[in-house]
Amino acid sequence: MSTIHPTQLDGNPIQDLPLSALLQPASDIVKASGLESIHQIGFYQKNNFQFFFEFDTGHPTGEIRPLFPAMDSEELLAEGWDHLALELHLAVQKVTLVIRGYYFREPVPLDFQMTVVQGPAGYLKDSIVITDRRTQEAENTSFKDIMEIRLKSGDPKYAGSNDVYGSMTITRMVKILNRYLRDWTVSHRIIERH
Amino acid sequence: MTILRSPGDGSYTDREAKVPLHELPNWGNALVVNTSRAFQVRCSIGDKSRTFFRFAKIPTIPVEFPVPELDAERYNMDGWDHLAITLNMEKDLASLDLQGRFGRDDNALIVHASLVRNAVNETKQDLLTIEKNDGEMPPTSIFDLMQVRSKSGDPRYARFSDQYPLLDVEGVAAMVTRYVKELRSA
Repeated sequence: MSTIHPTQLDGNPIQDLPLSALLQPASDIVKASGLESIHQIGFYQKNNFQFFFEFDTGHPTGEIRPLFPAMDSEELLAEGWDHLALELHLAVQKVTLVIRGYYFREPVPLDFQMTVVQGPAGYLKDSIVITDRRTQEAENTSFKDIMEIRLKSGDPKYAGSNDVYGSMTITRMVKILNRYLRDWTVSHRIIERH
Repeated sequence: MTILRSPGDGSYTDREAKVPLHELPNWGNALVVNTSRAFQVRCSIGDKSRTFFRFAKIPTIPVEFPVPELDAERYNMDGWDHLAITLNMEKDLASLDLQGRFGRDDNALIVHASLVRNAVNETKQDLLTIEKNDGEMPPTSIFDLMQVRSKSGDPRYARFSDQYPLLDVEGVAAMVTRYVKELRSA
């Protein structure tokens, strides 16, 4: 019988937990459900929020507990997101965070996708692809790269001084991404001709 | 679990009885109340078979619901190009919606079935429509399908133990599959 951490799975959406803290509850939830993996998807759009559980073949033989960060929809959309899907894929000893959406700040429309995979020893994957819809050119980066960008003073440009890569909450990660994307749209206003 | 015996022609396997449609609100009502809205469960069968739960907000209680047990591979082999089975769960009401394309050529059938039952087992809707490439067939119903018998007197599309008031999602899907399979081969 698997054990579910009572403080994190009391039935309320999680607020401020890093991916590493979700590893054990994710394993417990997946085992309790009788499935191999569970995808949780929060879809945010103006006046439209939807939450999905998704799984491939098979059917749950036990309960499925939600383990999902509660985000402020209005705050997210005010940042420039037209729509945003926040996904948490739960598996035994693996949690995958996928953030994808369409972001627009005049005059730059972009498609964004980030995938961070948390394993027992840290992140197993960290990739970000930003595609400018005007040119369809994709730019690859990572959350680590974004956190390492610094100002002339040496201070981190997008991260906070207390932010530590690998142990940040999902809401904090989204805040850093929002700052980065705002700058990204400013620096990509003009389309370079090759 | 009761085993529902299939007619003896060997073309269909026996099946366990699952949760009848009208009993599903017993499982769904708590979630409807918790999220203040109806929610949906969808099993989609096709190139990539998946099951979804859709809620209007994140539930704050565990999700315990008998997801239809559909053998995607079998339905694919039976001839479904794609099939979506959706349960819309409202307070004390379960609506089953089956939509799909049977066959993978120009003569494919577009199939739509709808069976709606409340928690006291009143049937609010029972409709089956099939569109062929030369037009729509006259609508029928799951109830009508259950009345059809072979020459031997055996039920043609239902199993011996299937009872209309106790139909489950799996039973409806199986019956409709058998019916459209026969239509295609006719």
